[in-house]
Amino acid sequence: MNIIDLKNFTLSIAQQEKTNLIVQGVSLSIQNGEILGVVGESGSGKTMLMRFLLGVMPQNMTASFDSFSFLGSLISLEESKNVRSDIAMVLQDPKTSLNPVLTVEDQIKEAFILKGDKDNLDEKVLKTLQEVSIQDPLRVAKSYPFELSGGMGQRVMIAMMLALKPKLLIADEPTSSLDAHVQRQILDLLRDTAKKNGMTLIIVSHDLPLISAYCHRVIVMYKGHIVDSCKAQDLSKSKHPYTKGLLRCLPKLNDPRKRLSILKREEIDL
Amino acid sequence: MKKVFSSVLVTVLTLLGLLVITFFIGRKIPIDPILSVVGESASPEIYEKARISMGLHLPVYEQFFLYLKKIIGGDFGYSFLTSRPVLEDLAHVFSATIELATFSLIFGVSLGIFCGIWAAKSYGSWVDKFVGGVSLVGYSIPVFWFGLLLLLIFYFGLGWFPGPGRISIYYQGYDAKSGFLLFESLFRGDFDVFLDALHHIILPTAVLGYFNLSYIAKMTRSLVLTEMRKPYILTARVKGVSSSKIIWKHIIPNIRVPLLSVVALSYGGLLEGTVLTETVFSWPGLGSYLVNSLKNVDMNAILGATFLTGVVFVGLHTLVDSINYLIDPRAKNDKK
Amino acid sequence: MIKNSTMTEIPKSSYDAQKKKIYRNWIVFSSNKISLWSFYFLVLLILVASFASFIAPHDPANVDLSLRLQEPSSVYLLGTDELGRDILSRLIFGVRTTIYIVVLIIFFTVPLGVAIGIIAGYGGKWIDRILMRLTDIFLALPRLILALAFVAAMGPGLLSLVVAISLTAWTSYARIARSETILIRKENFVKAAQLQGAKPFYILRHYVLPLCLPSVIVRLTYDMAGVILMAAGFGFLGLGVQPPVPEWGTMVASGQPYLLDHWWVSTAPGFAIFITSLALNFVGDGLRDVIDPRQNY
Repeated sequence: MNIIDLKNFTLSIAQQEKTNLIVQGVSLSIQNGEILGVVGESGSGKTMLMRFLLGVMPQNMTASFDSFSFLGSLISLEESKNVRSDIAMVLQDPKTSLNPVLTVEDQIKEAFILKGDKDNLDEKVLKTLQEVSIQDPLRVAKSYPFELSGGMGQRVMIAMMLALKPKLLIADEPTSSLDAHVQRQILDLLRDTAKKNGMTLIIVSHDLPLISAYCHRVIVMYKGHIVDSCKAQDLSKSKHPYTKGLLRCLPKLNDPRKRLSILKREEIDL
Repeated sequence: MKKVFSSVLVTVLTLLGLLVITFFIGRKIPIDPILSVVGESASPEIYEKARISMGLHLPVYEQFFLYLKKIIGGDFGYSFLTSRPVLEDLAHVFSATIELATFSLIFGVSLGIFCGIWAAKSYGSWVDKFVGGVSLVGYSIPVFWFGLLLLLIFYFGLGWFPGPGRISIYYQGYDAKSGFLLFESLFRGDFDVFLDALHHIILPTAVLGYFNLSYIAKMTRSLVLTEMRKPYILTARVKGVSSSKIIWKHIIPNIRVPLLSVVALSYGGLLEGTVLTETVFSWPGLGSYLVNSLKNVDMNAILGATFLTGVVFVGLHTLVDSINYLIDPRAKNDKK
Repeated sequence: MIKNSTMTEIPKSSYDAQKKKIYRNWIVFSSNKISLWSFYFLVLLILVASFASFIAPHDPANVDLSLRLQEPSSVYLLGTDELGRDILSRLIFGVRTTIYIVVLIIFFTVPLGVAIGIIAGYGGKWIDRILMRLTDIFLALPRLILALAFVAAMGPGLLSLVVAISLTAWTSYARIARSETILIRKENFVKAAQLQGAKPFYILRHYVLPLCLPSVIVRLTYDMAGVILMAAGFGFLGLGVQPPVPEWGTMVASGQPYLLDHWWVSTAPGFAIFITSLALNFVGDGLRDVIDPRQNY
């Protein structure tokens, strides 16, 4: 069963008499339980696509699509502008994506309350924190976001989103602001949590090796289009020029070159 | 601790700077101060005696220290207009101004914050533009002219509100010991006096309050809009928090501190506004006192009022710094 | 259409590039109709001030007590004041007074404020601290009231008014110049110039100063709107430019005793103050949107 079925989605914004197409004619199907990787540079439209799925687009953008279904039920254009329950998102930097003046505890409690769960919140908060492998849940619960390290903050974010019991979890550059050794931990956590709770997971990133290690399938976005789509293990064998270009740009320890190659955008044919 | 020390230092330096400025302004009066004491026809010996007794033969810095001592002791000299110690005059008029300024602040802040939030929520829509326009007019309108206009329309024209003054002649003898007419009359249960005073304060409050509202609305809108664009608001939206809860539970707590600072500082603006408004409404406060002294060049009174206002301003700034320090949990982190 | 193709060509020189930039900025500015019309209004004011003697229907100093407090009519379009002078003509000549005050204040405050700000931003921790403490001290003082006291002591008049207001008005430019300088100082092109051996003064003059100016100009426009109100306030209290020089604030005050039956004497000049200040605020908004639209929140 497909958790998401989107056909011919276009997103545009009017800017000073010009219409800028942020996403163009994207069709996407995501299977229940899969881990999808979304790769692209800034400006490729990947973030906006995710925000559309969530239902939190900015007001000045116009969307259109042929059809959009989530969990098997069709969603109209009007409805797509509302926040979708059962989808959650983990953002990039926990220091700015968590409310600076509320404690961790208060913020996680808020998530529970929004789901209609009002009893024994203190315990539930502690339990959720433990589920994301936080060793000292009591201390963390009473802390403010600025008092947490990057990795800890991301765990808190994930815990908070888990409290919403989503069917689909989107992670938008979840590890970009973290140290290398913490990155793996967070991604492992995401993958294991998704498996345990039967969640579908989308990981948005610009980090190719990371994506191919953790995802089942990968889509590559460029200038608002999906230019390539394949199984994660087939990523390095992709024939598409953009993907090949991205792969070539990665420095490799076992294949040292005198000069790093640059992506020649003129060669890419949309 | 460093922060506390440096802000105390700035406060002290500012007060000192204020005193230096008032001291030098005081020395630059157009009339010879000795002559104003001994009279035009005094002989040279009397003139010289007076000069020495007033300390004017001493070097400047010594004179300044004498001045400093006097001020700290509360001696602001005598007003030649009222023949009373300036300090006594100030105590008399200050409460009337405080009452007016505080009322205007309440009016301006409550409406201003509300309008600012409303405008931010509907960014780009006609509501936003309307609030922006109303604010802009408030910024551009000369306070004294606006007061005259309101008097013209609502007193002379429509007769809805009483004319200038704090209370009508009928109640003129009412003795409010605290100087705060409104509060005392309410507290003592003299409702007829209270209503009359209330009726009188509405027009001047509307003038100053509008002035205040414009500033507060603009700043609130700005603060809310900046906050709305931050990632944690997106997180809250994803969680499914309703938009009114986002404003009240997420945004407002985060802008509490700068907003309070804005409000406190706007009080200073209100005090300055009273200088131009009180004369229009014959309001017997600090503003009218200052204007009268200015017109008659009663230097002691002018400087006394200036210094008092300066102290209040510095007090407001110190208050703002303390708010910043005490309320923000991030600042508390420095304490650890 | 010809202009469009010129715009997309690569500029031939730095002068050419600057011209194109100014043209582009003008297009953005003029898309805001209110700002545009306010700007035209201000230009009109300058023209009125320059040609006042030709435009004014009557002599503004012509006292004729038999004509005092006349209602607006076809001869005296805005009526006459308490000394029988034509209000419209006095308003027209009053534009000159307003412009003098504004220009003088700009002259006194902007160079000083910007200089202090740039030096504070570029000169290192100690200079920054000292200068900023100084600015903070001035900022904490009640501007209007100090200025009033100053004018009372020095005797009222154009120059004491200007000096009094300027004493505390420079601080806003110092602050802006400083924060801009701190940002610019970190840019790579500044570092490149330093590596090439450029002296600090050269960098400040050719790199920092031109880049600070846009924000300073926006602030300036808003401040001038406020200065007009302040100067009018002084006039209202009798501490501004002295009669018989026509000044809008003084005109409002002179009409105050006759408010009930001859309301136009105060209303007209007050309205003039209002729309001039309003126009400046609108132009300020327009400029701000050209320079950095994000400042609108």
